[in-house]
Amino acid sequence: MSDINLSRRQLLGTTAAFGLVSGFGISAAPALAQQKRVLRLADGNIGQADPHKPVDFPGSILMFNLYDFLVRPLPGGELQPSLAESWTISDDGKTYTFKLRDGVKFHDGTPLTADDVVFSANRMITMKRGYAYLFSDIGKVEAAAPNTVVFTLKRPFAPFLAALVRLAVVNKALVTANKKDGTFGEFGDYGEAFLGSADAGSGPYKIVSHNPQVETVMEINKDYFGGFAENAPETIRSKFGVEAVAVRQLMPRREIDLTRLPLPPEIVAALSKSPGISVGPDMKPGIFHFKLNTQKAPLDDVNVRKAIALAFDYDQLYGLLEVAGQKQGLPVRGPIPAGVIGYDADVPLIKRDVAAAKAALAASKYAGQDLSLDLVWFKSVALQEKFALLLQANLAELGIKVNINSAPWPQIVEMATKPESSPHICSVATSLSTTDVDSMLWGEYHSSAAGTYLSMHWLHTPEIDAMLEKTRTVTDQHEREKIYKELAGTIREQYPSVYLYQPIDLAAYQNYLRVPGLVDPKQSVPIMAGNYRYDRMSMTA
Amino acid sequence: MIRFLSHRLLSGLIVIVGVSVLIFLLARVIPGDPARLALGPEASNEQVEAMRQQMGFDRPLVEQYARFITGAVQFDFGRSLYTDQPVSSDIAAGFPATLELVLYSGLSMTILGVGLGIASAHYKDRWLDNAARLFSLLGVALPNFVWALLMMIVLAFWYQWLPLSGRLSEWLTPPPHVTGLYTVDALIAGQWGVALDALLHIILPAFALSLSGMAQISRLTRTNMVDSYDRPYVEFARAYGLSETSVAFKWALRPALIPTLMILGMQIVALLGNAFLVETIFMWPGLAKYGVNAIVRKDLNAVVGVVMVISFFFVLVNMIVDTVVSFIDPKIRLKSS
Repeated sequence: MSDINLSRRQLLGTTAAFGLVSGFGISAAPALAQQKRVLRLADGNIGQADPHKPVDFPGSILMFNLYDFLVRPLPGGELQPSLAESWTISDDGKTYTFKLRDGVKFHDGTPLTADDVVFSANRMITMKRGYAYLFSDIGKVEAAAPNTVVFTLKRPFAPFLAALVRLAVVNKALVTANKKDGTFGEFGDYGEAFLGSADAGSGPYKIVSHNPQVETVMEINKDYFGGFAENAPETIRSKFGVEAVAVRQLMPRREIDLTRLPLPPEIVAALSKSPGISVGPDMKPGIFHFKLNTQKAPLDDVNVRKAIALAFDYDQLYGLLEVAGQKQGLPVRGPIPAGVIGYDADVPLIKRDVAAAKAALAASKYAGQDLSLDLVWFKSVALQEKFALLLQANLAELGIKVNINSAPWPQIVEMATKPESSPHICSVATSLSTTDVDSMLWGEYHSSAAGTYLSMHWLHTPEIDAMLEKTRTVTDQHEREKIYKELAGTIREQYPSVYLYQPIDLAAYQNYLRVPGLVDPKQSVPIMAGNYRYDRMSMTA
Repeated sequence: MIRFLSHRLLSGLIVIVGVSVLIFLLARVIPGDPARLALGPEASNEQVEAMRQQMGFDRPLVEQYARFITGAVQFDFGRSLYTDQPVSSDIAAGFPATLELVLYSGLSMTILGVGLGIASAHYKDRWLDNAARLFSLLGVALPNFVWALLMMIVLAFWYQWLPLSGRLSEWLTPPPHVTGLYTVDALIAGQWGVALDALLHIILPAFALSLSGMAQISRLTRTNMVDSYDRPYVEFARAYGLSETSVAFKWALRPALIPTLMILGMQIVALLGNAFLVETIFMWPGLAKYGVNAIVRKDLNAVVGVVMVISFFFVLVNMIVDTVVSFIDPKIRLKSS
């Protein structure tokens, strides 16, 4: 597709190059001859092919396209049966029984059975990589029949069903046949070396070649039971380690069809103006914060934290987030982002109110003192410096001095391990790992999960712990929603963060490519990489 | 000569061992728990601890170093936390791409740098000299990545004379692996079209990478050669009736080439490290980019592996340069012996 729409100059140049190359006796342009629907994705970092390891975007894209799951998330976050045809949950919320769909086959033609699901769950739990923590409550998993799997949990865990969107089912026979010596007893290396460069899945696409630092090439699995969008891409070339500057050059030449790279404003603006290219919002289920260290003076006083939150100029921030007529963020109402359980649209947005901020500061135990705060922002994201400078200017009006420093990511991770090493203020983004809000809030606010960048506010109270634990035991969604709303209120009152905005990634794509989640927000799947299922995309000439 | 070479070999070995200790310690001083970084923030403490044990990060430093050095001599640097592949296979995958880039870049730096320097000195203060000096000034003044971007925009984006990125057009299959250098492997396999395509892909990145070094080589060669032209032995050669070409290459260039060669050796090895930005801009799947990503992510094994490989080549190229220089200037060889 991208090969067809050539400008006159490109056509001449390409023809000349092909002529030159074919003059040397090779078949120069099979891509043109076959006219396959080839989608080229520009991605950053590397692509991890083993579905039980990655926690990042490129790895998640590969996982969602190469593998299948008992359940898959729908637009809006609802769960859809996928490999599981149906399921039942016991009254005590500890036993989940899944009936598998008949006739599903892996890419090598092997039928998918309950044994494969059991093997996959055990592999993830044993290897302790990637999203393994989501499954730490599994007591045992058994194949009750070739098409029935039973998960027995150690304790009720309401987000379990949502967690299953991260349990990719691998082909037991293929992985076992390719195991090497390793540290996992009879399972050897559990197929680590094999799955690092091959696939053992049943998903809509299969691996043709994989180089984690360069490119993964996938081709369509026409036998996929879930079907495809009309004119879905037939070949995918996921290019890794691409920089924004290369995207700027490659997209107008139609050498890249889609990118999810964070692009600087000037490149977004330039691409928006390029003919045939659009920029669309990829909604992220998360929040961008200034985390306030509640255990470090003077932020140990809630009034000082409240003063900071009220002094911040949110309207100016929203202005900074606008690029080429596109918003890179939505206003937030507290610790829970829009579109997930517990979000309360009736809670008013926090507004800048300098008088109220001064009053809060005056009510604190630090009233009248010269206050100085350290703020650290993540060095790789230039926009964060602007947010920091804005906060610095806003707090100067309250007489609070802010010292701004940037730090590379490893340093921030190290700072986050102790309250005393965490700065007063740190800019941090948090997001959901599954479609359940527990996957974000537990890591941020439960005391057992402290010590990571998610919890750099160090707000941990028995009350919040108890509420988070309760949401895991209640299976009734309405009841859970009520508790989450209450929890959000409790957290908001403590001002552990300045909640800045709900991030929206801007993704650039060619107009001949239709990506439902980028065109229509209602089609957006609220999970990392949820909008990058190629079987839902379509390419037109 | 044997004594000269063994002396160089011994000093090279000492440098390698020194670098191994230094980089091993430095990599561990960078803040951040590598296991936590690799596993992500949501990973449980149990997960992090399991990985630390698996990677041996919980062992005493001396034990870790002993394990590292035992593996390193067998080209086994452990597993990368970032790519989850053996570091040695990551290096083996990326090194040929960088080596090919550096070789072409070095070639362009040597031929064009020395050539411009000779022409400049020979036509001193004439238009060719002035143009070459201006070019050299620009080459030194602008960093590699600026040149890379400028050339990319003009030659690949506006005029579309050369490819924008990568090592090979995506409709072509890489040639059968022999050396890992696509241009060479394609020639060995008799795939002339692939060789040409690979050559077209390497022109821009190699030239952009070489410009700064080329400018320095050109300036140095010119200065030394101009100095040589003023020497009595050149005057004597001319008086003896030798041709201008003979005077230039045999009498003026040869003594002027020694400092150039010394700098050239260092410049070529420095290209290995400097290639990062050029590799990034041109999406060149090389080792320099891998090394920088490893540092950013505190991928200990990968950092140490990449530095060790670059250090090895630094020592190797310097030994080669020293040997060549000793042939050109016997005084050096004799002094060392």
